[in-house]
Amino acid sequence: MHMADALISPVVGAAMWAATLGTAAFSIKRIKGDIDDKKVPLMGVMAAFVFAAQMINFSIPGTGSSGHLGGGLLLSIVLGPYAGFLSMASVLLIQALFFADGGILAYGCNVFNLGFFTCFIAYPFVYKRIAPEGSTAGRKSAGAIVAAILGLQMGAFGVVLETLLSGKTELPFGTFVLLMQPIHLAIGVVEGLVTTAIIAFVAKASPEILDRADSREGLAGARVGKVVAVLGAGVLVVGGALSWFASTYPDGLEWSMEKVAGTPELESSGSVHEGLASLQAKTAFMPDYSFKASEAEGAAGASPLAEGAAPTGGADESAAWPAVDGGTSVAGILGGAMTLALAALAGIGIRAAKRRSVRSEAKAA
Amino acid sequence: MNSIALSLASVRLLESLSRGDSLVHALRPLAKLVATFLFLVAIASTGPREVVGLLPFALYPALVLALSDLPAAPIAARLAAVSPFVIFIGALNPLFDRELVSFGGAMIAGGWLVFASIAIKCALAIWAALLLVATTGMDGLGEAMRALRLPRVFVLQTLLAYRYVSLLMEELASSLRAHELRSPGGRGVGKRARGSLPGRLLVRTYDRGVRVHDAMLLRGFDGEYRTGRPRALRAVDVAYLAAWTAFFAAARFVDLPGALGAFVMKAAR
Repeated sequence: MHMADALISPVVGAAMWAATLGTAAFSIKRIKGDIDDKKVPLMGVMAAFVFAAQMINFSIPGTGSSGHLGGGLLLSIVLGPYAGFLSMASVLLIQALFFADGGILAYGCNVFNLGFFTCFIAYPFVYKRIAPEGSTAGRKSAGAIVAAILGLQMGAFGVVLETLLSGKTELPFGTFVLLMQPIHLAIGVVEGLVTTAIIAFVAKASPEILDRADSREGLAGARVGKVVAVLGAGVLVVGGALSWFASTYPDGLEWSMEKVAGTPELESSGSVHEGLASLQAKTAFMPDYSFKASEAEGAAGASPLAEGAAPTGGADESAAWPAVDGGTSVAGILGGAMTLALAALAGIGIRAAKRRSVRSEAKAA
Repeated sequence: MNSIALSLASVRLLESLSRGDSLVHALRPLAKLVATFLFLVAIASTGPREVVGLLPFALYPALVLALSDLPAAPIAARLAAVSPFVIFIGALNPLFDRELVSFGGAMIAGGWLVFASIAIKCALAIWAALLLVATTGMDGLGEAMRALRLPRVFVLQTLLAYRYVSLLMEELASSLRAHELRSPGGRGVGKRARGSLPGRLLVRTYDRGVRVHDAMLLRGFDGEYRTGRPRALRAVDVAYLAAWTAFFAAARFVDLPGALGAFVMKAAR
């Protein structure tokens, strides 16, 4: 359930990056006294473990299909929530860079969906409540299964919210929720079962690993309220600032607002608002540039340049070529194909020129 | 099993490509990282039904690919591995967005444009990220992250995790092969091996982490993973970044295909 760059708007991406950086900074501060810097290699190794373990296919009981591990809960149990969150962030960064699994812009969303909810909500508030220190194996596995399911449900809901706020897809909220949540119920069960099984095995084979984790449980959940407050503030500030900047374009938040509320902007008033709005109007590159603007206005201004160019073709021509109505004009499509061809030609040309220069150098030598 | 082999091959391919020697490889990692990020922001900021306006952005990956002397085929092969989740979400759009829009004179449902837009954005974003990694490598990216003042602990841990990933994947591949050979017709790791197979790997990994850490301490590790002196941006790096920034702004805010198409159609008459 990795979010990809194709589904996200810059505003949502930046806000979630801010939230992730904030949580990471806080986690680093928290582990300073606990795992000192010099033990960072251990976190790196555990991150690599989760990365590898995600590639194991586990059979889902009674279904004949298989699923794999997410790892956030396991990392929290073994390393504690703070180090666990940081390790999860590393796993996701390597996946985004080397496997195109989740994008670079969407990285903040992914860390939040897959790391934050498991390490800072599901682990301290669900797992530790059901299975406090010294619990029986039964309680531990119950805790892991419930925590994994809830963590994944929150993560899946995060995906839905981030996608809808980005406004890059037309899926209705209800449909999307119905699509995401039940699937992740099954995945959550697998996650819980596998996490339990691994923890049970480690507890038998090498209990000192878990003892170490238990000894630093004092931190777990103690400061989560603070994390949430800092995060909330961060998301609001960044998201708010960027929406101000971006709201001249009817995409992203505003666009989805249009879907939800039927109006592109919520009513707002006040001198601060007006001041900012006029500042924004002055600083915007191209106020109200819009791909869809012409839907309401018929043949007006879908693309500023095409609009300027089309009337020069003569009256009869412009009737035959509904150049700028609705969406994309013929000229636009033709030009698009040509720009694509030009891009390819530029690449091939540079390559050919380079090869020739290498060959002539070889001859000269 | 197969996916592990593929992943290993992919990591090794990107790592070996990143040791190349070209104009783009020689640029400072920070310049390339920021350019990639701006590219992603530019394409992500386009509207949900934008299709034609995305096409000029293909110049960026096309030029970088050519300038960096990377082989096109393996990169294109990686592009095919686009996230099925994204394509699935995209493909649902025509079902829900049936509002008719004109596309070159023909009326089609807006959802198809949304789908096309998502597919193009997906390909462009993956292409750009792959090129970044293939021309920079993980150590270079670590340098860029440090230059951006990301926390040292995080960068260090990510670099170490990356170092271990190939090692662990090899170990896991042999464990899984052993399991597969002993459980014919099985679909995935079943109940009995659910804890012990990954659990054993975890214990081995943990022990190895402790050993490696001890060895690092003995050799004077002080919590810093040294990737060389942080290098300042040179004129060529700034120029590279500035040129692409200007192009992204132009492609985003000016209708380049529309202008080109209108010009050609006028000339043809």
